[in-house]
Amino acid sequence: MLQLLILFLLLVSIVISLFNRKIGYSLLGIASALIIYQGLHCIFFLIAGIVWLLSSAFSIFYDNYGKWLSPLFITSILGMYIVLISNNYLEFLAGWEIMSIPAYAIIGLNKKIDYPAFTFMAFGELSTVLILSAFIYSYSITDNIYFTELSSPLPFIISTFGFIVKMGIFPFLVMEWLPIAHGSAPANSSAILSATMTLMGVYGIIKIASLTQRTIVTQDFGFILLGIGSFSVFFGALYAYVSEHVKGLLAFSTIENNSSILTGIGVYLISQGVLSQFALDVTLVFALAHSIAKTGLFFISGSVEGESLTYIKIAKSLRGKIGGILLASSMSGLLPNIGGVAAWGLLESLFMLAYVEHSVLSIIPIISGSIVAMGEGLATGALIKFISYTQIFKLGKTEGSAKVSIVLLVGIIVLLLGSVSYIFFRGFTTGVACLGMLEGLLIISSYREPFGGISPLYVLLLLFIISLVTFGIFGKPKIRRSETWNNGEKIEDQFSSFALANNIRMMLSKLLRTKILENEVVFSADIFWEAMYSLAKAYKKFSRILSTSYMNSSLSYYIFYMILAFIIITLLAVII
Amino acid sequence: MSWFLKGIKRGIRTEKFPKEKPLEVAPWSTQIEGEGNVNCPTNAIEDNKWTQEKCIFCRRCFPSYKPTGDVNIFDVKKRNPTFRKSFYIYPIDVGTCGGCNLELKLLTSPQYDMSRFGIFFTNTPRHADALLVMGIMTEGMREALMRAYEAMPEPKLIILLGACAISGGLLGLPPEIKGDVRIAGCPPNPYTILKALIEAKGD
Amino acid sequence: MRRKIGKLGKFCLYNDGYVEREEEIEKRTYTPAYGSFDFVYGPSAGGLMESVRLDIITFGEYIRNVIVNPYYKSRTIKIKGKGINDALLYIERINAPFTASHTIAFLMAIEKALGIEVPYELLLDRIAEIELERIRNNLLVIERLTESAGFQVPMNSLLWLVEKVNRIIGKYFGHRYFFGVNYYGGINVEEGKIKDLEIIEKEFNDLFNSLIESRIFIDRLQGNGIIEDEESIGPAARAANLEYDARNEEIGLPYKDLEFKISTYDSADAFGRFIVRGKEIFESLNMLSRINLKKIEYKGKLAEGKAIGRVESPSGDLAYYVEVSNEGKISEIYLLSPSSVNIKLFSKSMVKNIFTDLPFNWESFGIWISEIGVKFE
Repeated sequence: MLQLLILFLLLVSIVISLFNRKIGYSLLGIASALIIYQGLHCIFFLIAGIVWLLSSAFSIFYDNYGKWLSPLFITSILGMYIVLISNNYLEFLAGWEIMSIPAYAIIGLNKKIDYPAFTFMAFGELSTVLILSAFIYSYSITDNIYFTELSSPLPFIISTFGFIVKMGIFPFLVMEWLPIAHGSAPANSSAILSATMTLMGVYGIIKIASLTQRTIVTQDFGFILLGIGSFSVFFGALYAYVSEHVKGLLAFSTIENNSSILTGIGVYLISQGVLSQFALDVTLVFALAHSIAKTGLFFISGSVEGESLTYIKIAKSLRGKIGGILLASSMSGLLPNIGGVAAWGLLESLFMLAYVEHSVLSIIPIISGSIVAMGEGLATGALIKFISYTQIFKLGKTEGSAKVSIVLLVGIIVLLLGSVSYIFFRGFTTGVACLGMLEGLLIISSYREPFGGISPLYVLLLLFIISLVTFGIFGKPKIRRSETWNNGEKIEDQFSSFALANNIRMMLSKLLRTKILENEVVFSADIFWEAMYSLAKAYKKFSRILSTSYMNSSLSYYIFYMILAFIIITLLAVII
Repeated sequence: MSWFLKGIKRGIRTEKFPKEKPLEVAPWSTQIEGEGNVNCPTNAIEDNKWTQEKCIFCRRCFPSYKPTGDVNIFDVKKRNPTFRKSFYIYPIDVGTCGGCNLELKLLTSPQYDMSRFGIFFTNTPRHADALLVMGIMTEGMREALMRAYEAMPEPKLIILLGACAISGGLLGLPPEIKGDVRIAGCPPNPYTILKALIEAKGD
Repeated sequence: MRRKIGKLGKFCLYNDGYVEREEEIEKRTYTPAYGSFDFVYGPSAGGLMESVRLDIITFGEYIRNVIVNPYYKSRTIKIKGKGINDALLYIERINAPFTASHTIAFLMAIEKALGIEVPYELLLDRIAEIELERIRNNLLVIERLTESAGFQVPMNSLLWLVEKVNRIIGKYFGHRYFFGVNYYGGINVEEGKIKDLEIIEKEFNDLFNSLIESRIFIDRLQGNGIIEDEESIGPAARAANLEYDARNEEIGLPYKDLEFKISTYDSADAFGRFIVRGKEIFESLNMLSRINLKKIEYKGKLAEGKAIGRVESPSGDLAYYVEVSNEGKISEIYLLSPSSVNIKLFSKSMVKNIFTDLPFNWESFGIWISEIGVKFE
């Protein structure tokens, strides 16, 4: 009943937004609030609802594009909602396509260059093809189109590859198409693309995984996902750090976080029992943390003018600074934000997996965990770069507006969610009364026995209490403002964001193929993409040579082909 | 590893100044005494009295006036015992000939070793307890000197090193800043500088 | 072989004469590029011994260009119209670490202009001054290199040696920077042979050989700041295997009688300059062991004339052009300081290196800012 009401509201808002954008977005907000209510039963609705509510509020103040943006925006959200509420394969695919096509249109219409939109559509269709073939196979073994138990792991494997295309990881590990596509859309659309469209991929994997029996095949597949995930974490973070494009940096960060989620899913598939449940909880919390924080960061990117981090014009404000710092610290995996809980949980589950396995295979989660940690370090650097150059350091005029208030709101949500993250870890909470932690306020990671613990609420409270105590003991500090010291000179040029990451470009010059020319530094942000591109070019050349060599418009050759074909067919007919 | 052993083999070369007398002092950087009328280029000698702040040690007054070997030609107007255990100095060169810079640097050599008294150099005025000014005032460094002074937190000391910084010496005018410690010499002997710094920090 | 040394007032000085010519000012412009910005180092910074502003144009870590502005502490020296001994007071205080070279070059110019014959022992005393100064400065340059590398033991040992040389100078000449030593008519010196030079030689020999074998140290110097320019001077030129040395070319000081040999190396980078300076220290110690200091005087005379005096200072050729009037007053004076040439070489050599190479390269040239930007009035 509620679902029908929400669907109706969404359809109405699409129609109304053709005439009045703000009312359309407001109706979308109401629908999102209802979806959050639905989210009390399923976390995916909760995540999607929060993101959509915040995006609709932001879009009211942000959208001054043409008439095309709001209807396409809401239609894409409608598609995602259909995916979430579908209970058979056809509805799922319908929602999948309804989600992708308006997004393609938004990207294409925004920039009026077709390359990003085409790449988005191409990979979107690739994912659809893989999912479709998986669904066809599952129809053939279950004989109905509803989501029921599957006896073979094959549809799960194929559809997972399809889903991770949408998450930006397949087929060549780190794919530049996603930053190109997400980087060319308006900020509110980039937010829902990065936060929720990739969330649909996670939803799909977990849905089909819940229908598949656990066998040795799924376990081996879990190890493969572990490897793919950790590898992509490192490279996604590296490319985010050296990126100069405001939205491109965030998109690479999306790839990095989705790869972390994939690693979590890998642990979920490999392990059994309590550890498996813990890994699933961690994966969902990670998705929650990433979606909300990424939404907020894209809102920040929408409030700056320009696309390259070195030359953007910004409007500074205190609210934007605080919100931005909270969001960046969450994405970097710092407590007491929810991102910190998620990062802790992922590394804990990898450690526990290595411990539980007790065999040679344990080395895979250990190596995987190390690579994930390296990637998280680079991700922290990338986000520090982003926040510094869009909010904190640049000299810009100060301005306050509703958009930055929303950013601050997102930051506070992220902080508070960390403190209430206990509700996402049902069954894993306890208390230690002697340390002052009441029952239910300590999250324990466990595989059967307790392994480690964390308490974000107490971290937050301690921060406040210790600050207040220090303030109380020492009183208000005496402050004298003086000019920044710059070798005795006035402040002139500033360290550009390009220069900030240039030391990594030079140190890893073999990996990033850095070349320093007279007037610029060229580096490739994705060697896999370039490899694929050069492969495609080589193939094109080869096929042209081949075709001109045997289809060379010489009559004698054609007669020869006809005789050859005649002989072969006669032989085949005789043999068979 | 061999560097470590080399260092140990060389032994301790630090002198025991100021507990003991200075070992080898160049005569023309110490107190001057004598009597008579001489033509001093900076008017450091008037009425048979020698003013240490103006003397550039050019030896024109020799042999009526002779150096005595006493290295205490400095003047500490304000000292601060807060810095007794740790004294960070930021040197700024506003127009020297290079001599004061080099003599100041030689305070870190093993013979003098100022770090045993808790005196260190710092690379930024934000961490400094004392601003050590050397040289005459030049137009280009006027703003830099003012900024360095503003950048230092309280409490702070100003040390003027050398005849140029205290009185302008031969070549120009002194920097327009009031000094709490004034060390005379052209350039001042490291023994003199060391003794002055030890007194300035309250010992 | 004719080589160009540099700009001497309104002249251009060559090793065999001078020509009146306007020096073309080289304007090096760099094209703006994405991500490139201007990183300011100085004038007042902890790592620099004097006040100089370095504008490093960089992409971040990679240096595209360095623009040096040494005029922050430029001083005006009122010297024209003064007598010779009064002028000497000012010349001594242009650059204290190079005072011996400055005063001796100036006096050589005056004596050449007035046609005065200087006693031979006085010339040997002057060589002793210049060589002691060279030993001290080269030790200081090598100490700054080890300090940039964070090499504490050799850094402190070298500082000990620098202070020891300073004390030797102070003992025999009365002042650690040769102030009041040379005057028009003679020299103030303690007679005798210089003692304690064997200690310095032994200790420096040990240090130098150990430093050459330290891979991590020479790694920071090799390939750093390569400059092979025909218009270079001093150790920078000799490191590029160019045999440029005023001690060989000028006849004013009798270096040939002390069996002077020019020291060269062939790598033209900071390592080459380090080796050349080390070799020169041994060469100087060798020459000093043959000199007996004597206090000698000569009579001056009043005449009119103009001439150029050139010596080899620790960082390269240093020359003075003086015009003396009939009353014994200075009417015109020009200075060619080695640091003004070395700054141009430094800027050229810094391109394509990275930030961490900068302190090594800067120190290896042995630049003293106080002798650039000096205006005579």
